[in-house]
Amino acid sequence: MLLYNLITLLCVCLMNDVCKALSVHPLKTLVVFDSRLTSLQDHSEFLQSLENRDHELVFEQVDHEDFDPQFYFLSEDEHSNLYDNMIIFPIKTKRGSSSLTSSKLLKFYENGGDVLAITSPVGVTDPVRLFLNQLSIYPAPKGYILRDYFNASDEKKNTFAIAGSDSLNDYVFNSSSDAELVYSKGSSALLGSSDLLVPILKAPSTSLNKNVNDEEWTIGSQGYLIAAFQNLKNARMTWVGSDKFFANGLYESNNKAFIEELTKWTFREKSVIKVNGAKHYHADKTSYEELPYKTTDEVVYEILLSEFKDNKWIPYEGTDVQFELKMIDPYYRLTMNAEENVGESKKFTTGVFKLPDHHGVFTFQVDYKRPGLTYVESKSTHAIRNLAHTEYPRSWEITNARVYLCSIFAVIGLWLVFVVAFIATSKKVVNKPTAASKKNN
Amino acid sequence: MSTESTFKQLNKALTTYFHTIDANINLKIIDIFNLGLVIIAVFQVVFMTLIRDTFPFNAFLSGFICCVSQFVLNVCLRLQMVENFQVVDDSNVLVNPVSDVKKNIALSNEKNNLKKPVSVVAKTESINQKNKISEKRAFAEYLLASLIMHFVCLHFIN
Repeated sequence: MLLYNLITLLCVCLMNDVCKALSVHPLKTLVVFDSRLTSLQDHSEFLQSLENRDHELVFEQVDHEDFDPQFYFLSEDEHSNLYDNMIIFPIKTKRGSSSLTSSKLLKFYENGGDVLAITSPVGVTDPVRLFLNQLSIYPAPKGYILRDYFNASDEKKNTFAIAGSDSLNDYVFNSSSDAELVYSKGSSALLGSSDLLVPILKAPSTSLNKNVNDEEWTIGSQGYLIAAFQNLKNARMTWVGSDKFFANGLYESNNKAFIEELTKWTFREKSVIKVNGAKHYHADKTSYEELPYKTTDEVVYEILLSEFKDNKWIPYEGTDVQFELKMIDPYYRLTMNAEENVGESKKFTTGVFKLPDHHGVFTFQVDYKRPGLTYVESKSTHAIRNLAHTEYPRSWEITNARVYLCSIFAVIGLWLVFVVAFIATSKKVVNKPTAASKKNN
Repeated sequence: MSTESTFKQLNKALTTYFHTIDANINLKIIDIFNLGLVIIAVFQVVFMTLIRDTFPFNAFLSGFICCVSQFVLNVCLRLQMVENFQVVDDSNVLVNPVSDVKKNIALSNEKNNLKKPVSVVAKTESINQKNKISEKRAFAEYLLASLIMHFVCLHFIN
C-alpha cells in the first residue's frame, strides 16, 4: 500500500514536471552571442522573460578568451541535438566559424531544433547568412542599413514605427490594437519563393536598405524585417534583422508583447497542433474491418485535433480542415465540420458521404498545412472493391429498364401469337394439298 | 419521264407484293409480325431519345437487339417460304416471278381449290425434297433459334 502511494506520488510529480514545460519539447536553450556587439545587460529583460517561461539558458560567448572554437551543439554522430533551441545574436568574430558552420546549423535545424537568428547591419557572419540563404531568406550583407526618410523618428533615419496589426501571420502575432512596434538600426531581407516560408513583418513602403556606396538591397515593401521558416519536421526558424529590437529600452516601451508571441511561436510554445486519432466507418457505424468498403458505399471520416496553447492541449478551433479521398488525384476534397469536444481535442467530421463509383486502393487523408501552424497529416490506405455480380440492381428494379423489359415480353408475346397463327394457317395452305395428294394416291 | 416510270415500277412492285402476300397467308402474317417488331424497336429508340439518358444501356441493347434479331429470323423464314413457293412456280414455267403475277394467282387459286393436277404437286414436292429444306424443317429451326434468342435477351437484360 505504501509502495503504491509512493508510486502514485512519483507519477504526480512526474506529471507536474511534464506540465511545467511550456513547449511541446523541453526548453534547453543555447544563446550564442558576441560581446563586442551584444551586451547581455542590454537584453536582460528579454532574456529574463525567456527564463520566466522556463527556458534553461546556456550562454556561449564566441569572442571570450576561454571560448573553445570546437564547441558542440550537436551530438557526435550529428543525428541529435544537445540543445532544444538556439538563439544566435549578431556575430562579428570568425573565431567560432569552425564549429558554428552553416551546415552544422542546418543539421541542428533538421534535427528538430528551433532557431532564433538575429542579425544586425554590423553582425552578419557568413555561416549564419549562408544558413539563412538555405532557407530562402536573403538578409542584406554587412554594412547595409534600413532607413526610412519619411517616417523615421531620429536623425539617422533608421528608427521607425510599425503597427503591430501589420503582422502578416495571425498564428504568430494576432493583434487588432494599434500598439506600435519600433524597429531600430536594422536591416531587411529578400525572401525566396519557398512554400515553407512564413513572412511575419514587411518593411514599410517608404523604406530603403542601402550601404555607404548607395547600393540598394531592398526598396520599399519588397524587403522583410522579420521572416520565419518552418520545415517539414515542424522545426521553426525565425530571423529578425535588428538586435536593437530586443534591447531593454524598446522591449519595455513597445515591443514586449510582440517579442513574447514571436519567441513563443519560434520555440513551439503556441500554434502547435496535433492529430489525436482519425477513423472512418460505414454510415451505420460498422467498421472497415467488419465490412470492407465497396463502391458507392456511404461512409463517415472523423479526425481529432488539438492545439497546444498556454501550457496545455486544448481543442483546436478551425474552420478550414479538409479531408481528401485520393487515388493519385483527390476524388473528393471535403471541408470538415467541427463537432463536439472529445477530451482535449476537437472532433472534425465529413458527415456521411458517398464513395466514388470507382474501385481501387484509396487513401483517406487529412493533409493540413497552414503557414504558421505545425503541419499535420493523417493517412490511411484502404481498398474500395467493386460490386460483385449479384450486387447490381436487377432490371425490374430500374424504372427505365422496365420499358425495355416490356418490349422484350411484347416481342415474345407477338412471337407466340405468330407461331400459333402460322401453324394454323400452314395447315390450310400446305397440308390441304398433301391431304389431297394422299387421297389421290 | 423517268419519275413516271419509277412510279410505275414502284406501283407494279407493290401490286406484285400485295398479290404475293394475298396468295400466301403465311407470308402475310410474317410481314405483319415484322411490322410490329419495327414499331416496338422505333418506340424504344424514341423513348431513349426522349429521356436523354442511355442508362441502363444493356437493357436498351437487349430490347432493341431482340426486335432486330427476331426480324432477321423472320426474314430467314420468309425467304425459305418464298423459295419453296417459287419452286412451285418454276416447275410450271421458267419465267421472272415479278412479271408472272397472274400465273401466281392462278396457281394459288388452283392450290386452294384443289384443282391442281396431281402430277404437278408430286413433281414440285420431289424437287422440294431434292434442293430445298422443307417448310416444316425450316419452321422447326426457326422455332429453336427464336427460343434461344429470347433466352439470351432475357438474360442479357438482367
